[in-house]
Amino acid sequence: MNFDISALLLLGLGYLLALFGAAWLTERKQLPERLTRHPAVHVLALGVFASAWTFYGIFGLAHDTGYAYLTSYLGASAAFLLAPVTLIPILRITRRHQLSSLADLFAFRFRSGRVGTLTTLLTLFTSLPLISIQIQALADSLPMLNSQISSSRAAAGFCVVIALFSILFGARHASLRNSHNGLVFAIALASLIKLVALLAIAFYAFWFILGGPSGLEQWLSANPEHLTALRQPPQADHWQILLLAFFACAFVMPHMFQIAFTENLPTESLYRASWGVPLFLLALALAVPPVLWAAIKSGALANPEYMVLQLGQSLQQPWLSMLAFIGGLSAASGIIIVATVALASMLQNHVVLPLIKVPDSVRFYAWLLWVRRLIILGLMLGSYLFFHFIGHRFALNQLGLLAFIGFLQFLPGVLATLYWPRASRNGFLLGLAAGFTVWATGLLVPMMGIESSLPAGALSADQLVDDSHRSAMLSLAANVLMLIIGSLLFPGSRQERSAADACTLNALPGPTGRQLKVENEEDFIARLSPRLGSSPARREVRRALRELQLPDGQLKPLDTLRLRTQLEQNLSGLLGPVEAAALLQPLDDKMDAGFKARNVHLLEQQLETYDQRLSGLAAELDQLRRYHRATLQRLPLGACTIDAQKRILFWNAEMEFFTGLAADEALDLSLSELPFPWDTLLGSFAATGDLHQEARCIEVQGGQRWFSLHKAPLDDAPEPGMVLLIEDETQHQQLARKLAHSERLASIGRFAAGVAHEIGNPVTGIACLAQNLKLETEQPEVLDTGDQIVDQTRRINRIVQSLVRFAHTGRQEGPEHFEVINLHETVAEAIHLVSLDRRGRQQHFYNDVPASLLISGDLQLLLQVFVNLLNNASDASEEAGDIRVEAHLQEQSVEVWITDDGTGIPPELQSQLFEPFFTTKEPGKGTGLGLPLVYNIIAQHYGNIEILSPANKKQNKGTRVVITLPRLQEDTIPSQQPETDEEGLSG
Amino acid sequence: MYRHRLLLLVIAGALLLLPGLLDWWLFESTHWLMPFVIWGLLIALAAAAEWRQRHHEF
Repeated sequence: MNFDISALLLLGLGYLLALFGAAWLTERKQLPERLTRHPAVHVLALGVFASAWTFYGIFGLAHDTGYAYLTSYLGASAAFLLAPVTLIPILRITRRHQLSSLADLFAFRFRSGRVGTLTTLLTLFTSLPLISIQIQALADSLPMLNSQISSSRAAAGFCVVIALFSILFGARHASLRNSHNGLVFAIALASLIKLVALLAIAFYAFWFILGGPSGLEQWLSANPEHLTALRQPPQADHWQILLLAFFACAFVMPHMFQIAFTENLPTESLYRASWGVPLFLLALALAVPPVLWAAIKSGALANPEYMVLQLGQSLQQPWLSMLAFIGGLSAASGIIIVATVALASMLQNHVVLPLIKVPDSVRFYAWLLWVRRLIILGLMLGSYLFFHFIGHRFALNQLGLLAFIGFLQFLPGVLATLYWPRASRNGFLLGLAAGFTVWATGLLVPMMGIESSLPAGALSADQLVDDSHRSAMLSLAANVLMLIIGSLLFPGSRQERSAADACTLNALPGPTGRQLKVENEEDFIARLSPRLGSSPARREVRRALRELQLPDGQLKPLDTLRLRTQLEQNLSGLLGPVEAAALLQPLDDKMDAGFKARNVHLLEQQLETYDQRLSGLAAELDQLRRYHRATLQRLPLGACTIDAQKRILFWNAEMEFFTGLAADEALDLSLSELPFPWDTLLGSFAATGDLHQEARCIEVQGGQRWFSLHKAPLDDAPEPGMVLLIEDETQHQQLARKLAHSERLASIGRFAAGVAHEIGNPVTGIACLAQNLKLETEQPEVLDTGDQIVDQTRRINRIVQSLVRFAHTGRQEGPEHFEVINLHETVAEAIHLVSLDRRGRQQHFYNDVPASLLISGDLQLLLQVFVNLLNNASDASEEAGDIRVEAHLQEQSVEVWITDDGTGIPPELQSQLFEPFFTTKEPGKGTGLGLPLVYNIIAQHYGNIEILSPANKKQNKGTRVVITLPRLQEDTIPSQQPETDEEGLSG
Repeated sequence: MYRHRLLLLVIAGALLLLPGLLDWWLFESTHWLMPFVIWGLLIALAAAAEWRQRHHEF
């Protein structure tokens, strides 16, 4: 039966157009994202594993080896069923480090560009037979449908269309880690088409050719040899090794790696694939026996590999052949498209970029894209040439086995990457070399007919199968053995070990043991510019900063490390891991290996995001760590740890409260880099030999604070350091000082009362006698002396009265006798009183207290306070000086500032101002009781008084007295307001 | 840690049991559909495990 060429062309082009359309609509976001990002799409795309070999060649294998054909499906199914221990760990590594291919993974793990290049070339070499199979499937199937079609021309046309598709939808972004949603959706569609086509053919074969379940039973009873043939175990030894080969192929083949790990599909879709892909493969495998028996029954066995195509031909059912053709076309096209895209990214990173420098004048991202497109074209051309000159001489099965056993050689490397941190670069290279050498000598060379005297491709099928099993077994054994021996003999470098730790399951990744020679983003840009060009360098650094949510400009040491790691990961997606690491390497300062105390916060940061994955003892230790950390964090003492270089490693919540410096800002700073006064307080204490220092006084935000300091050396820690504890003693100190002061005042008060009483009586007597003296004499000298004696006794009386007043202030009655006072008016009256006694001085008093401000207190006492303070201010000020009274409202209190621009008070005298009998005035002008009296009155009003001098720090003069008094609460005002009005300030 | 052990167990088990197991699975079955039924059961087990994990961890 010959098909019309135009019908075939139309069908083929129609299918490819549907593929283009699906990809285009997805890229344009014309299809709902719920559909294109559905896990089922990922699962179906992973069905790309079932290539034309599975669609056509598997029937030949089933015919020859019976149920052994299932090994290809079962091997891949096992890989997916074991996804949590194989695929998911690889996905995590590739995501975290932006690795886009197997070569990237190995190059990153073994820290070697050579490893990446070798993996790329071997993958390319092994993939060529696989791609050739796909081209051959199409080239062979078309002439079966129409004998006039030239197979080579069909193959060439097919290659051109596929190359176009790969370039259009597989090379859309410069970064290799960007997903190609259109490509994935189109591949999923192709998988669906091949599944539906094969199931439809199997359904037809089962129901209409074999007659359904009963018909099949009868036919098998009548022809038991066909069932026996299917159940006959293969005669060849070690055929089970193929299971392992297909297990490996499920994730090391470039197209499988691309779909499973590189396309940024949701992680959960890979979990779904753990059973979804085996189910897909089961459906495909289940279709094989009915089609095989139907082909035997209808005599369509001329070429067992294409029996699915010939079934329709021999039954004269053109639609059946068409369905088989479309199924085969979709299987072949899917794998070629993804494999070329994946190989192009590998070749770009590991072959082209290390050889070619990016021209400065060209736009970097566009240049990268065009390089990749050219590589895709080259790959398609190479694949076609391989098919044309070599591939077409072999059966699908032969080339398939060659490729699959080749891919098996990457399995030890992948397992070592995930589970054996001691595997080294040299061990890996030796293992790979040994494995591929045995593969080449045992399978490739005999197959190509180089050693054999038979013409190429003339090896018998049985011989090839035997050879392939033996070769697979031996090559794998040699590979594993050399990997182990090589790794033990030539252990990896420190860098390699740290990359191994980053890859090993459950190991903590991280930039430990690294210090950077950079301070801000410009340093990074300057480093990247020569390789990327200045604009892309700036763009990459900005992007990394944005992803980390860091501000522009100066970076803290911890942030530079985070930025460096992020940049390396992003550049790895663009240039590959080796190139990215080499680009940023010069920024690192070399440090010794091993535990670094300064990395503890980095480790902690990683552990914070890692706890979900810890189990067993590790999880319990982590719980313990969290408990101890919380204890330290919530300690009601400031605690900080420093390393030997005095860099801060730990900074608890209380330290944040004391210093106002968040832990994120303080970590990794040196003590000397802390803001004043903490740098001197902590720096000098850390430097001394004392383990304790009591009540050190510092000024914080204009107020005095006292801190006790304690420290303990961390000599038994892995690295020497020190823990500092800081205790806030401010309240204790203030209380103790107040208590001492009050005690002193009280004793002086008692003393003053006694003195006043004892002096008062004799002075009264002296005054009376002096008065009498005036009556007893007329002598002017004596009268004058009598007047002077009376004057002096008045003076003594004034002093005695002030002593009595001072003694009485400590015994004033409580707040129940307080009244509502208008502060503005009180100050105004005090100013008026002071002005009366200015002795001709022209000083200016300003009352800036709000007119409506009310407080609770004793009016006469407060008047005395203001009169005393204003008098002092007036005495200290110049003739025409300004004295200003202001009020500043706080939430619960009011601050009254009395500021003059006088000479100020020397610092050494400030601590004695409130001591009784301390005065700086000339003898006879002051008693030294004014300010102690004020202090007592303010204390009685539950207030506080402070003296700041100089008030004007620029000119170093003036004094400011700050009185803090409780504000009258608003809810108490209405009831007391009338009293104010009645009694008010009239007195 | 547990996964390391699981993998080691799977590898050791596979080495010891795989040839015999595959022979029994594929070639000793009474009905031609039996290999597929066993395969289907394995898939059902994996799907159940995945479902449990999804609903307990995420």
